[in-house]
Amino acid sequence: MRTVKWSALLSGFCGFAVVLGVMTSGAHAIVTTERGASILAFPKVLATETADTIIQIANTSNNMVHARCFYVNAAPDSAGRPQWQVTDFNIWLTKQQPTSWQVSRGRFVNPTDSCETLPSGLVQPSIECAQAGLDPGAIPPVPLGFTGELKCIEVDVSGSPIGGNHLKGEATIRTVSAGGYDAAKYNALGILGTEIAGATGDELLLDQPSDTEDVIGQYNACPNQLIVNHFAELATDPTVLGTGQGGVCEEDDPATTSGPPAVQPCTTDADCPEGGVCANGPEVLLGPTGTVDSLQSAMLTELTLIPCSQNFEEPFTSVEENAVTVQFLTYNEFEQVTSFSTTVECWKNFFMFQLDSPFNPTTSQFSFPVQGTLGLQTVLTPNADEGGLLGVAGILRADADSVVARTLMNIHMVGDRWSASGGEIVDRVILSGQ
Amino acid sequence: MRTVMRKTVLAGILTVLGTVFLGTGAASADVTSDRAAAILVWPKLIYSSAEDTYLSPAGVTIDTTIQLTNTSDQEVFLRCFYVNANSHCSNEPDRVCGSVEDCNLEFPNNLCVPGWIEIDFEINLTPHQPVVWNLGDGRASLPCSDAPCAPAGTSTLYSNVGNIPPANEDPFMGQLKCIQVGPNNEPIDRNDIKGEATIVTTRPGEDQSVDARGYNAVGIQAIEGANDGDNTLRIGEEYNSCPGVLIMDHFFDDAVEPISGDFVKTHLTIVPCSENFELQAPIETNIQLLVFNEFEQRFSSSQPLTCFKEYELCALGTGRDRPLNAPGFDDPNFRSCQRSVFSAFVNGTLTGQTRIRGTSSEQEDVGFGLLGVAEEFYRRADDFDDVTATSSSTAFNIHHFGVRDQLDFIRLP
Repeated sequence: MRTVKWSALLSGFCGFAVVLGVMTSGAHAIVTTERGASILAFPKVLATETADTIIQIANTSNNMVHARCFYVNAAPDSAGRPQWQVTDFNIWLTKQQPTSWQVSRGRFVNPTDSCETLPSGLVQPSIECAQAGLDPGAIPPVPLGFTGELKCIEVDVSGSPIGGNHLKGEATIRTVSAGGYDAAKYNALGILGTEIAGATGDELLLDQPSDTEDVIGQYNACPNQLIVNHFAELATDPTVLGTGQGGVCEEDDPATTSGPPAVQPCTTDADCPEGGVCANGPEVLLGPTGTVDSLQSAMLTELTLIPCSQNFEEPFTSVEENAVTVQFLTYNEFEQVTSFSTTVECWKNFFMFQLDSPFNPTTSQFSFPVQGTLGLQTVLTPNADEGGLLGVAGILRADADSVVARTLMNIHMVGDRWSASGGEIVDRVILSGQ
Repeated sequence: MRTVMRKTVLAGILTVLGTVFLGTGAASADVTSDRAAAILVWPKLIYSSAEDTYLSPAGVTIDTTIQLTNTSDQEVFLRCFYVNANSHCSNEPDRVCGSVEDCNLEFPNNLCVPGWIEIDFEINLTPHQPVVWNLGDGRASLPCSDAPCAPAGTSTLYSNVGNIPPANEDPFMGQLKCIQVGPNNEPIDRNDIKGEATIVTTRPGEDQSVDARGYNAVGIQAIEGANDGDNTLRIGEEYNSCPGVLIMDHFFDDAVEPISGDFVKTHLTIVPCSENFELQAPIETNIQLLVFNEFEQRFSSSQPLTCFKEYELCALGTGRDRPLNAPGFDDPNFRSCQRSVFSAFVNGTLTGQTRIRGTSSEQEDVGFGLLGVAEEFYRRADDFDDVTATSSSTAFNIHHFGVRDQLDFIRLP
């Protein structure tokens, strides 16, 4: 009887103490692209023949910060299957230190690398001194053809995960283009840790709900939904169209008109006067396997998605276990809705049209000819009994000369998986042993 | 047994008390660019037609494509405010300038005078509706203006009301703020809207004839139950606080980007959180900057800010703006920019981290929180002396840290 009484009292005080303790934490329970965090995810990292990536990571605190980082290479192996090859390394950053590296070159420890000093006392920036600065540790180069992701997890000096929320990051992808190199940039996704982050060792639980600042879990739960604002596939960018750099009408019989022809932008022949033809209008040329070989006067949206759950200890056998089937609901400007679904295993990069019409973008439900509006909103919802997703959206826009400009946008997020599932779904990131 | 029951009850009460006590302080305080919100801020909009020669060379067009979306299944109402932040030459009122060097100095006492003009419009969005428009064109009618639309699975019809004006000047540089309101135009505590902006440049005849950079609108979320519905929006009380510090990771100016060998420059556009649209009175403040390079070396700088400013990063360290359209060695500030604490010539490392904050004051009716967006401009090595010879560009949202102690205010007319 006495034991029971003590237990009851103790449980009350413990509850009160836990709740009071929570007050001081102030963790914002959302996945974010604009706050320091304890887990950074870069969903899209490329080092191919035509594209390379610069990673920037900074310590936002006044203390030294350590992190374990993991590349996941999803490039196909010799049999055409994704490799899911994991490579890990450690970095450490002094107070407020920013660092950066080119993923195809990595960054080796070399205390002597520095820029040439000019007679004026200034230094001469150059490629050779791009790695000047305090080295954050040895960062390996990725193999040529790398397409995949990078995750970095804040740890303490012994390598144990902690919820310091001191890391922020950006990725800049430069792609060979007509004018040299195109640039596109996005913020790393940050998963904030709480004061009990790392309580289960190398198995990180993403189970902190978004609607409370009570410390319930270790890391913020992944978003319940993603919302992508994008343009209809094969629509011409409005600035490109309006300046006559997209499709333009050609008169059926130019001889009947006098003076220089007026430029009339168009996307189809129907936009032109009777008998006119829309020249250089929207077009995409696909390769035999459905790859986009060329784009003209059109836009395409490219999504890169990764499951929140990841097992770096058993990367090959856990792929199926962590796969997420995601439902797409797309709204156009007239509130009309279409839906699709796809499955994301470890890493998936695709154009929207490839979801329903991979070999004929014109007939895709995401296409401008089908939707009839420029703007679309797509809501991505993982299946009810599966984990969350993270991602980044890319927009390709081309003019009539097939010159392509790329942008990368961070995706908006709604709610969290843990709360939406009543606490039943917990995403897990399992680190490899050291 | 009775004792046990009382103790158990006591334990429960203690837990509940703690939870209630905690619950009062649980208002999240994030300004966000990746969640829907009640107030959206697009810190930088730009429009320059092919005819304009102030913001871009003749023949080059720059326009901003704005995306605005209702993420909810209910109709939303919005009050939006463009702020035209063009500066003009005092003796040539039609001439837009970035610094006095852009003005005709043969006129005596010609100055580059800052100006702020607010243009507002009101629209509604039907459930889940996305809309898109170009700053240079506006949108004379919205998708469901002519014929009402019905969301899938319902018989309720919704119509769009209102239209979106184009930029009121060519060129135009400034910002846009949209505030979610109720059907009677009163600010409400819902967080249903999200937005993006993409700045697209077309340069006919050049190798890279099209270029684009995009960012997410910055959202300020309403706090449930806190909005009194009046026209003074109290940021930090009715809405989440503005960030205490902005943190930007960037390449140092004139650093050599190692993939391509291109030179890279960063522009930082900053706008105040506070805004007085009623009196059209610009908010003036100072911004303090701390910059860290990869050697952990720290420098600081400060600059004045009024209403809107796009800073060339190196100008933050020298206090001088380069002319909009007189770049290169002819510009007397070209070399001095290399002596900025934001220059790769000074720092010797590729990247840096800069912390930015507005200074506080004891004024109670105005706040000094800041919001912003960053852009990177790449130019080829053979264009080193021409800082406007952009071959490619990109934009990104700035990180936030902490919250402001002081309230910010947006006053609506």
